Amino acid sequence: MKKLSDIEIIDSVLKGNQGDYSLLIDRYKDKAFSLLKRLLGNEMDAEEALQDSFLKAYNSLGSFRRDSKFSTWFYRITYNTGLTILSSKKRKIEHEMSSIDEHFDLGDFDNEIYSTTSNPKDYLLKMIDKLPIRNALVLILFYIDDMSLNEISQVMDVSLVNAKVLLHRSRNSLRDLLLKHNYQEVI
Amino acid sequence: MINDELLNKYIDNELTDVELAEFKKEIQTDAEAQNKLKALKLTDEILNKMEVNRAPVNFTEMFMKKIITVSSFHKEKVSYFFVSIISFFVLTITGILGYSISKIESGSSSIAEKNQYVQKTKEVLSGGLGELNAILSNDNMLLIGAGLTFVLLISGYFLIENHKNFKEKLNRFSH
Repeated sequence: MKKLSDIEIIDSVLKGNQGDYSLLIDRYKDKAFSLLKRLLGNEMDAEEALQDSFLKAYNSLGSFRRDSKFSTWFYRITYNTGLTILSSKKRKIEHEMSSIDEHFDLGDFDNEIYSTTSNPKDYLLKMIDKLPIRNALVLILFYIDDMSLNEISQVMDVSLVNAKVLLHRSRNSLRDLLLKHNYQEVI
Repeated sequence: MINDELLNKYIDNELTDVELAEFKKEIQTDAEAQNKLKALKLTDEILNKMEVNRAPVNFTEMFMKKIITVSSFHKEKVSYFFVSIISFFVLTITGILGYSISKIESGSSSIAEKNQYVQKTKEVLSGGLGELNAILSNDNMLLIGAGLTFVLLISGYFLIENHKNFKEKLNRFSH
């Protein structure tokens, strides 16, 4: 069976075939959920945000301009929905999101996580949760959602250069942790 | 000298052929860069294996049920609206007719009086229709009618366009 493109599905939904929207949901729910879970820190809030995001996208489907991919447009809605929920729960988000130039120190969590993990993979995946939100999200968008830096810059509303800086800085900070524990010698 | 930017570009395959050749040559004599590259490769490898968190089971079904319920509720609301307006008019006309008939029945006692009343009604109706015909057949009235229809159509068009723009603005604000 031919796999319908996002645009073909959108056209069908706009013609009145509401049921076809489920194809888009199945296509993006897991990756969007991953992003929201990382952003909000728990499954309940992530599910609520996921519903909000799909509902907003559904209601605005008619105004979706086809100059960008549906996935980019949808992840932007998801990202903003997540931020809105987060900002209503935590005031500190304003501080965390303010600048990409902020330096962060993972040293406080390092010892605890290093002592409770036995291999570089578990160690690194747990350390991702300790990164500042934007640094963790850029890794999710790049590695899980397979987005280009250009798409990431649109989703996160930052310049292309800043998206690249965020990605490199996040990856380098994880790399430095591996170096610190000599994990690079494993390979 | 090999810096972090070059290492990241290498990992992301962003180096040109010339840059790549230079990079490979330089890294052979740079132990620190070799170490950093190893760690960066491992980081990249682990990040590529990051698992996707699955959305709750039945999420799609639950969500679609919600959407279909909400939209069918709106549709019903719209149809009820039109049905109630039409019903109102039908009931009003039926009421007026019923009231008129009951007045004729109770107000006039003899058959002659009833006939007289019916005759008068016929006269009024035929007279009124005749006058209406005369008015409508007037050329000026036809022009005014056409003008009014045109204005109504234009207003309707702008009203719909305005509504569309407003809806789009609303949607833009919602995300």
